[in-house]
Amino acid sequence: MSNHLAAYGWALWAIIAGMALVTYINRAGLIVLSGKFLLPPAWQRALRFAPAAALSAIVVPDLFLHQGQVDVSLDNVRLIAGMSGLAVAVLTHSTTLAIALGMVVLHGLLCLA
Amino acid sequence: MTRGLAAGLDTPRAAYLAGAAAVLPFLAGTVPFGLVTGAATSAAGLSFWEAVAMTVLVFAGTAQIAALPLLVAGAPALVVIFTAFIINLRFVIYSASAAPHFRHLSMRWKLVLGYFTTDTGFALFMRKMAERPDLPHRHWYYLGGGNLIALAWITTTVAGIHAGALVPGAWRLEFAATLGILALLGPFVRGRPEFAAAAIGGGVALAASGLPLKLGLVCGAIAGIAGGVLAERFLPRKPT
Repeated sequence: MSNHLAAYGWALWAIIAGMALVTYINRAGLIVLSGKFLLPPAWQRALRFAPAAALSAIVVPDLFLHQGQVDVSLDNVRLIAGMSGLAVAVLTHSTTLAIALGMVVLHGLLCLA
Repeated sequence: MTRGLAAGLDTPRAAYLAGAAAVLPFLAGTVPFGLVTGAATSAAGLSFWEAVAMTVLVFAGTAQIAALPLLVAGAPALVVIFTAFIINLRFVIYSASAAPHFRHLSMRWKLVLGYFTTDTGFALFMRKMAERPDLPHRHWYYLGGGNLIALAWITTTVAGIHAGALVPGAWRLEFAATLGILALLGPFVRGRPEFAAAAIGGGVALAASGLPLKLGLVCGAIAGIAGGVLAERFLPRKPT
């Protein structure tokens, strides 16, 4: 995969500033406004689903797409390595172990290919 | 004045130190994750100062690591920022729950404490509030925990940024970011509605991946939240 990061140039600083701003508003907003505004309970329940929805929306296309096509075959080494990492994360609750094993599987499969 | 921890939490200093002490066992998770996040950030191609700015200003590992594959793919700025916003929407719930405990503080305190809202810090603070609802120096307790988490996060990510810059591209360290996202996804999937949110979010994002400007990701995130709400409403609760 080619890396398009360099094309941002100075815009990368604007992205970092934007990420920082929205994150600070999320984490500080209601503390700063405390007493003046309360979050309706229905909204609180809906917001609980945001991390699972967004993280999955990033990672699923990243793993399943191989050269622009959905690929669930053994040729898709990223998918296999990712699923191995996920299994370790679910079984051991360790982010570190999941990343370590996923990287080992990725390189193992790349050597075999 | 300084009677230490044994006297309870009745001085600002004792409350601050108790807050920091409560965080200590959780650093075992923060340290390796910070190293990996830092290394993956420089592996993605950010310069040293860009990576440092991101870790200090954003100070939210999940959003930082989630941004990396998007930046490598050249996603539009607004999509990257929107993704950080969605992933960190959970902080809105945290600050909504913590806010009543800080109502009496000055604006300056509120602005400072707001920065230190984190998964671990919030969980520990709410546990302490359940135990000691009348804790007088609760803001110092929150600040002590928050400061130690921030210190550990920033030092380990900066160490990772240095280490990552030395790692050859053939190691494919950028894939560590994807694995990190997968490992973080696990704890958020606690029940059927969360599973529905993840499955629908991922499914819609994949189906819509042909859309320009990475809009498939935006569609997936919104559809996933809606799916979680509907699943909670209509699916029977899993017996536990």
